[in-house]
Amino acid sequence: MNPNNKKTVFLLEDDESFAIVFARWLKERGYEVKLARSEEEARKHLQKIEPPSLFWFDYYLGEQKTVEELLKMLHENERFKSIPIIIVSITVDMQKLGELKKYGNIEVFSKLLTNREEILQAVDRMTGNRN
Amino acid sequence: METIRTLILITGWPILIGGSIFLVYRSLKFYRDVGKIIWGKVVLLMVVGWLVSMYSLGITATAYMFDNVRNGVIVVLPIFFVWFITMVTITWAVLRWSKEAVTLSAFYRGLEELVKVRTQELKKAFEVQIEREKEIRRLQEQFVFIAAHELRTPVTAIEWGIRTMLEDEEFRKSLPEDYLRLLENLQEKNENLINLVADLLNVARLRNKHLPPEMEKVSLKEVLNEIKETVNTEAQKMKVRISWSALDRELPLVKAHTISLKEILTNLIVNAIRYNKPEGWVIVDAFSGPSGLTMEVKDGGIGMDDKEMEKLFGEFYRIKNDQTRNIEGTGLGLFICKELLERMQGKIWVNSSKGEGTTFSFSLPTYES
Repeated sequence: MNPNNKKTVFLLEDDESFAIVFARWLKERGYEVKLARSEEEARKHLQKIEPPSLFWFDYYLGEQKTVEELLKMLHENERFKSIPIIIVSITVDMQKLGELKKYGNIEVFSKLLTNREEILQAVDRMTGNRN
Repeated sequence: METIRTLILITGWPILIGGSIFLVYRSLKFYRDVGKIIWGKVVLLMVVGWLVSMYSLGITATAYMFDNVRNGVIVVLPIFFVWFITMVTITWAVLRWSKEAVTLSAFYRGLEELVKVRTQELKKAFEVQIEREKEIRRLQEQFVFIAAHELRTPVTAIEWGIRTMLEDEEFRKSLPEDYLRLLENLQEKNENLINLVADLLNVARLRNKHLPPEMEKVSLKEVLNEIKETVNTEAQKMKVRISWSALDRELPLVKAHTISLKEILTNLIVNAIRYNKPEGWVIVDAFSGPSGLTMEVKDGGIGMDDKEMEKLFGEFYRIKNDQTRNIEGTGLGLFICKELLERMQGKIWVNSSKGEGTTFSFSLPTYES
């Protein structure tokens, strides 16, 4: 949380278009957004910022890298392990993504099959935000 | 006569005993060298037989000689010759055949070893081939996966970007009319592109025979319930009524791939909606029979003639006439349905009448059939 009492969402998205769209959705919904465009950038930010209310991650981060290492790191960190996580992905292998639930309170959405309202409702629910 | 008798007695027995020992030794060695083949057993039997008969004769002849020297010598001498000749013959045979048998045995053993080595080499080559096939399969899966991701990411980003802009009232009001129309047009075109990418990726997967679908026990009613909302949205847009008669029936489980089945049903029902008349109807029904479960998607739409039906399941085929000109599609949907069904041991067929409607039917094996 920040001094304006707005809840914060930490958004990790390597695609600029999706980053703009998601950030806009969240701001219009009343959230503060911290944006990182790569895993390295995300790790640097996380060392400095207060824990957010929610993590929103793209699963694939370019060059066939996934967000799994970061999930593991967050799960092992006392500051971040209890923060809910939304994962949004183009190609969703539900079995694989189901295995990610061992890293905490995680919900998965497909960029192809989900709509804006569905994801934002999940964000509200997971952050305890009434909208 | 006494001298001859003595000579026979003191030389005959030592020769017999010495010869016997030598023969037994060579025969045993021969048997060991030749191994378990029948020839070794035959030779040993021969030697044993000879020993028994010669010793019997020898004992008889010796007894005879002590009883009547003159007659004894007359009888014993020929016997002694027979001994000698047979002993030499058998010894020669054992020695001679022993060599050949050992060579043959060594040859066979060599052959056995060669067969073992070649079998191992074949096995290894086969394992290498299997690994290669697995690697090819992995690379093909990876390619399809990467292609799916890399193609879908930009078109989805465009879709969401344009949609987000168009959902912003202030932004819409700020745009000139023609730019607004342009954005809406781009969104439509992009949706077509998304569908085309999806269909092409499906076709790529289908062509890749190394990626067979995983068959499961599937409830058709559950699948229908899952796609109902998506399809109903399309039906409402086109003002078409859908009756889900299949949901009121008791249906057995089918052997199918869930995602493929969803795709087939969505394709067929959305086609029935799009190729329909205003305020038209669609019936989704199913019934089971001895050969499995049959699903029907029936509509009272524009229908088609026999010529159009013939090419219907071909790649990129679309019916072209005044009524279908404005209906969107890639021409791959029915081709994909047919391929997916065939891979699930099912089949698809169509009945239609121009101007009166169309019924698409497909069958799938059940767990009872």
